[in-house]
Amino acid sequence: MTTFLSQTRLVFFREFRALLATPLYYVLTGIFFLLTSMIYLVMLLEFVRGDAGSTVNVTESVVRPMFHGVHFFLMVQIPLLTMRVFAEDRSSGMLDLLQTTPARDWALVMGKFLGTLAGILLYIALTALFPLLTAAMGTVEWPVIIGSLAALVLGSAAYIAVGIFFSAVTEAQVVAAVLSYVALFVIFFASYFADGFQSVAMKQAVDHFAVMEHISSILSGNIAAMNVVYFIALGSIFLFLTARLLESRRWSN
Amino acid sequence: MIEVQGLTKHYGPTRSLQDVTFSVAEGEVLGFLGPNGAGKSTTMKILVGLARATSGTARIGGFDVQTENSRMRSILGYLPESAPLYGDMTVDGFLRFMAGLRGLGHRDAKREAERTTAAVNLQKERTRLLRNLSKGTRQRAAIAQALLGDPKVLILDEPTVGLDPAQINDVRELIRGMRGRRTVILSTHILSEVELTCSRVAIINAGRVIASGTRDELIGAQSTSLFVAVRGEGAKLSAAVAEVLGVTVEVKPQDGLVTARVRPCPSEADRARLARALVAADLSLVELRAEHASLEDVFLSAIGNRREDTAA
Repeated sequence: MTTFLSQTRLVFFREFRALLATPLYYVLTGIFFLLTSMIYLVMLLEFVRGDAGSTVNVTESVVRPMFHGVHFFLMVQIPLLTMRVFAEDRSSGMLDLLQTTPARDWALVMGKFLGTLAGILLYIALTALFPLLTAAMGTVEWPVIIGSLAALVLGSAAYIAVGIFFSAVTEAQVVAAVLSYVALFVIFFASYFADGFQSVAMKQAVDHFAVMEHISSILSGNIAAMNVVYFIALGSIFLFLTARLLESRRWSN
Repeated sequence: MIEVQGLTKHYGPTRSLQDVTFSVAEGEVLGFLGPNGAGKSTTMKILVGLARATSGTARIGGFDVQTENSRMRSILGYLPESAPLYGDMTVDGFLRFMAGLRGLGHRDAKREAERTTAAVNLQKERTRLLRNLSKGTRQRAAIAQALLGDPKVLILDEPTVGLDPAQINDVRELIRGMRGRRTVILSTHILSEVELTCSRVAIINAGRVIASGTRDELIGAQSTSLFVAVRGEGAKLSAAVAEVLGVTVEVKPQDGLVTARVRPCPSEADRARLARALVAADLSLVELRAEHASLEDVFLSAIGNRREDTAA
């Protein structure tokens, strides 16, 4: 177990440093911060003008819509950051080398997952600046904000797991990104496809499968166990599939 | 230390390996020799557990490479053909990272990184980013990676590709120095590399091991010959050979001389008797030379035979 943790830690630091050494990371961070700032300013100006209505507070009118926007940006940006995670190692042959060391496949998967998540946590930490700014101007509901931040972390972790899985599927990074987008699109909008089913049970099952239902609920302050379990399960399934995929390279080649 | 028995590998209808069998004793350096596309890399990949054989078994250090793969990996150092590295890491950082994955603690990983960089003469480049180094230097870093943790078994796939002559010599010296201490399989298509570094050779072609043994055994199996060139009558030459050696030879005119080749090469005493007989027959003896086959002759002959078999 100690060896497993130590190997995971090594891969984590390697992945995190590799992410920070990627110019794309800074380009995406810049775009992310710019777009988030724009949403925040637009919502803030609307709130100040009183367009948002008198019955709602600043958290409801400014911070929460901003978090919805942040969630969308994360869904768009995460496949671009995860596409290289395994695809690059596969095309360079590094994955062969890593898989011939005594390190377990799970240590590689978890290390790379956590390393990428750490990079995304820096993104999310940036968004925490906006509620702090708002708090300087008025009263904000911190439990709601902390819940929203936790929702972003949970959602991001699940999307990273999806992206990493598709990165392990192919050597081509662009293909990995496209497949991740398709998968995230299907998972996000699954409830729209639910209408096509005759069976009520099937409709409900597909509804529960949809990210949109859960993220909307959780970003609205409803941190129900069901929502939390959903994201943990989604991430775990794709991490498990990635580990199995790596293992399958040993017997399918 | 390494036992490979009847390995066969199919890629769909294509048979990449067929009944590959060989063994490597502890401390031996085996040269796995074959032309490009012969099945060397496929065999290496099966041995290190990156591919699965359709049938047959392979054991390294007593561990089955398929069913006991994780235990086998703990005694293995591997250099893939592409010599992959992380270009954004320094030589030292990369070696410490790989040493950690091999289960070495922080101090041991640091010590091993120092030892292996010294072994491949990379001390001056330790703090440089791998992507900024020449191909030959990166190749040496990849070799250093395979040596981390002093593994009992080393599998090196084309280790001297991309190196300059001086670096090739250094790497060969390094591998030669491992004889008796580590078990090594060196995959290559360079004959001189095998002659200079390996204690045994296995020749693979078209997915089959077509010859194996020590260099001397392989060369000994190949017939040696005696070349004779005289100035004079061809009939006298063939008569002298028949009288002394009791064999009939084909006599050929060549550049104003008469030549003959006797297989196998007779003993030193018979050669001396033949020389005296030729002079006594009033022939001017120009050349009498024992010819020994080289590994190249063995290799080309083995491949040639196999190609003829395949064509038949």
